[in-house]
Amino acid sequence: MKEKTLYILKSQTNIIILVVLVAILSLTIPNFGQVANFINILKSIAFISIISCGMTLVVIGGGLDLSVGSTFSLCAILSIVMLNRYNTVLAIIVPIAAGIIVGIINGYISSRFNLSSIIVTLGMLSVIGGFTYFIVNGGTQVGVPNGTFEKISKLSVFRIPIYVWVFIFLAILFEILLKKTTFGRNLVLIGTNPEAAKIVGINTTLIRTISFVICGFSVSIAAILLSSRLVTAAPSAGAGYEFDVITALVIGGVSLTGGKGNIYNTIIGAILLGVIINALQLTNVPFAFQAITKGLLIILAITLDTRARRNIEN
Amino acid sequence: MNQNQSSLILKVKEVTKTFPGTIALDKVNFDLKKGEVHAIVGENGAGKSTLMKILSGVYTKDSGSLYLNGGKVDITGVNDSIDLGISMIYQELENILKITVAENIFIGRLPESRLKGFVNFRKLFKDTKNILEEFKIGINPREVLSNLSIANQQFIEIIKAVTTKNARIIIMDEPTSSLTKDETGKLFQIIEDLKGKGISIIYISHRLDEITGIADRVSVFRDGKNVGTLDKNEFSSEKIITMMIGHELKEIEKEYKLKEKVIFEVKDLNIKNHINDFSLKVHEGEILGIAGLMGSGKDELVKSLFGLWPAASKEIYFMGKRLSIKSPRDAVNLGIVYLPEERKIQSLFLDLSVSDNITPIWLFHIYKKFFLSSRREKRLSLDYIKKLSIKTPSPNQKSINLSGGNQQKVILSRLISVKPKLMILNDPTRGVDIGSKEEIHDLISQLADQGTSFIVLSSEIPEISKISDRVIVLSKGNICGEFISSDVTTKNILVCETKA
Amino acid sequence: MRTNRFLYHLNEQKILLVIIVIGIILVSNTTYFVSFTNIINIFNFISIEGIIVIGMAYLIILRELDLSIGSTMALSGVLAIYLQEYGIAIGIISGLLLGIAVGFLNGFLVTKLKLSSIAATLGTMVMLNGFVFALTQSKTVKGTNPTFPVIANTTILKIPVPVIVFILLVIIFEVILKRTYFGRNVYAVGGNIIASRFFGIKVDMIRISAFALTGFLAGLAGVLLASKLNIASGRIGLNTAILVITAVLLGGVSLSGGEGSIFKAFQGILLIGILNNAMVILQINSFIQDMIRGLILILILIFNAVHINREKFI
Repeated sequence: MKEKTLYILKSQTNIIILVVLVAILSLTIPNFGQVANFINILKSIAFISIISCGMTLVVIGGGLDLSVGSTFSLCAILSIVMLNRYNTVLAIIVPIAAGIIVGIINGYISSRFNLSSIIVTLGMLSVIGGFTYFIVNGGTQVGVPNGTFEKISKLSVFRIPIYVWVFIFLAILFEILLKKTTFGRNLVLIGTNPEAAKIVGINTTLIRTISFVICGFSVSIAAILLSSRLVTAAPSAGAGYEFDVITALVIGGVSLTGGKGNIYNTIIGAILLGVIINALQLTNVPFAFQAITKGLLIILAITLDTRARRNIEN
Repeated sequence: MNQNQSSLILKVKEVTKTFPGTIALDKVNFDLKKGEVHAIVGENGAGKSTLMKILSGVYTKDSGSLYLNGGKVDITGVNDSIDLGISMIYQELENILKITVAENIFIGRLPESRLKGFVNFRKLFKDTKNILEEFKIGINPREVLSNLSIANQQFIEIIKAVTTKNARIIIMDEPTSSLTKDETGKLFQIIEDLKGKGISIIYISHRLDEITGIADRVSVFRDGKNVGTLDKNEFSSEKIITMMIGHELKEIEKEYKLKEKVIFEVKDLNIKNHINDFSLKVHEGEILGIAGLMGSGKDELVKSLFGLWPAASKEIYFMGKRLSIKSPRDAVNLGIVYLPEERKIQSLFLDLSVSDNITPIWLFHIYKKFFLSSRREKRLSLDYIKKLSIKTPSPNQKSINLSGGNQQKVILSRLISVKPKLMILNDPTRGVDIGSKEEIHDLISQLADQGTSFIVLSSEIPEISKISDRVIVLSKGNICGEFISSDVTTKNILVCETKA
Repeated sequence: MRTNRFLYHLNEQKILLVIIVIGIILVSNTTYFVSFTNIINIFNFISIEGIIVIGMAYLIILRELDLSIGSTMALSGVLAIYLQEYGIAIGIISGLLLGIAVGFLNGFLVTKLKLSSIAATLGTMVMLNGFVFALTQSKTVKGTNPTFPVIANTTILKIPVPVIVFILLVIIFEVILKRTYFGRNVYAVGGNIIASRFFGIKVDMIRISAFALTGFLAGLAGVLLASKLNIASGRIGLNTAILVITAVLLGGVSLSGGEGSIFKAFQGILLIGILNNAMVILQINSFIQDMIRGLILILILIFNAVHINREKFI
């Protein structure tokens, strides 16, 4: 019985850290503990979290998508461009299609040719980035105020805006996909031991491509929501997002080598990140040092993950 | 006795080594004279690799003593072994294929030029040329290693052992498995040179014809013991094989049920450098064993049957229909499953539970639904845990925690769960304890009786002869013998295999 | 056998051939291409990043990567400009020292903490981004000292200083790679790390040195760039890394390690320079150029993968 409790405690380290941290911060920082502040935190991490949910599937399958930042920019720009040229419907459909296509390309090229998805998506980052800047000739796209499109982001339930709800919805959906479907199981198997997965007869190319497609889809959703909120889009919209997403995953406990982790981990990681950044903001730490903190967090988390892997192998 | 001992360079006295479940070496005695070639033969599992691993410092002995040049020594690690002048030829681990021959031979001790920090290439190539000439090997010192034949790469290995590591004892494990007859001749010439220099060689091989050509003495290992040493003038393949088998081994009487229906056929299988014009038929409910030494091509053969290794040409017929198997997926879809030889790397999902390891193929082949049912998965795994007597506290136990035998049973459950028509097993009882081994053999028999066909590879001849209805023996890419029913005996297989 | 030898040598110099072919095409279009001015243009374009290519080549031969070079470059430039008030020398030396420090940090993370080089350099990159942001607040700061810009903008015999530095460094480091202990050990470690360790080569020292070298060269490039433009440019992000890695791979240095040369990497960046020059002459949009660069990276990867696969089995 004692062993089991210890085991449960160990696997829930992250949420314990989160709870403890929140408790400490609530006591020490004046405005931290208020409901409004928590909602603020959720709002600030919502877009990154939506992307992180998609990225989680990719990482569990053994890959990594560094092009999410550029893809985000592309989808945001496409959304506003379509809004100005045509209508709301296309402003939603076209970015989604773009996200899916990017996912197909990323997934297929890295799986079919057995290439490191890191380098493939690195290349795609350039391709998509260049394309995005090309469409708008480097300039920010200002959207024509359109009743329907803007209203999307203004929806809220219980004072919580729609994009937070979308995040929660996708998180639940993806977790079900991961844990309760054959697809999710195949993904975990591929991430755990790609060679064994092949011998067992799993179509690794197809499954991994689908994971990238889902990631691209999530990116497009997040981009559409942000464009709806700002009614403008800049080709640099998503710059740097890939790092925030990876940070959230890693500190949440998703292993970058694949096979280990779930959406729940990612959520904890994103919230943890949001909490830390929020605390830094409330105590008036210069914005730039948040980036430094993020960098340190990534290194810390990856070190711990590598140590844990090593222990298993020994 | 004393006179002989003074020319002894190595003496192994009553060395024992046990692993959980097996006694690998049982008070083994062995000695090596200066400048001699001492061959060791024995079945897989007889203990020869274990002894070599102890000598090269990879394992430590449990008890017994080692003497070098008369003085007692302790070998606690690889470095000790090298310092003592013992060198084992490992092909893959120690060659750096992308740099030149010269740099490989002089690795870690490249000659320095007048300019500090710079390499004196002229001296490097000149010294290398001299060494190569000394060994009468005509290789260009500037050649990149990967452009050389496997044989030449091996010769470089040997040179490295002698020059870089100052070895006085060199251990060669199946050195001729990838060599042609000419290259083997060249190897023997090098060995003669080494002997002339006073270097002793432990030569492990199955090829009795070769051994009679090169060895001064032969020791035969069986079941962890050294059952006898023969001098050159006492050699005969007959005698050695008898010693290898031992008189205790009963050839088990089997009924050979006549199997008629051919379910699987391969014609004209060609794999470059490995298999030549191979053809094969498997009948329903038949257990076909494939035996062969390292380098015979049997691994590449089964891998290509399963779609893991591309073959230059092959015709495959399954249940009478001509088809192609280009990937494992194709094979599994047809009802062919494969058990890889390295389960930790190629089969097991170590982080995952026993249940998760049993269900993969079943999930997308029989279950086929989008949503998982943990109830059905659990039921399936409990079923097989019971059927195969898998020792695990629960189906949720992480598979990495199970013993080798139980892990193998998990993988077998995985394969059986889809009721395959043909099971290809590559070394199914490697690293498995004796109890589980028996159980696995029984399982294979039972399934065969029920109509499942098997292709079984093993390097343990007693195992192959025990369970197979029919055996094909491969040697260097060709079939050198085929035996049916009562002719399937260890002796017959061994005789075929040991012909060079 | 002899035809194989010939084809092998042809393959080795294929990039040079491509360069010659492109050259011929362009010359037929306009003789401006081979004019002295244009050649200087090409070299001008490639010199700054080309300096970093040298270090990256060492790393790729060692089977490592460094994604942080862009941020190192940016931060070094920022330091050089900001610390000018204490003297140009202080500024320059700080920039160089920073580069070396980052390099050592990367080397430490990879050898002692055993992180993968991608993960580790991703982490340092995010951290450095933070520092750059902290110091510049995303504004470009102009240099105040009039002597500073002279360094990168002088010409000796009509050849700009950065170009001379680049070519000198290429020659020096090619010689080091091919003829010194350090260089030969780099090939050995990259070819077979286990064997190298076994035979007494100090593997960790080699790796740390390569990272430190790359860091230093990134710092040097940053300082030169700052001098050239006389501004502290916040050019953070993965784009520089993509360019440099593409150059090395394009030149024919293999990701599988243990082979290649600085001269080959030089051919790679030269080809990129020529392609860029051709695209400028043909007036192709600069954003399209970014796209093409990303595409080239992906195509090289696919080509290599297919090629290796074919060699393995046939």
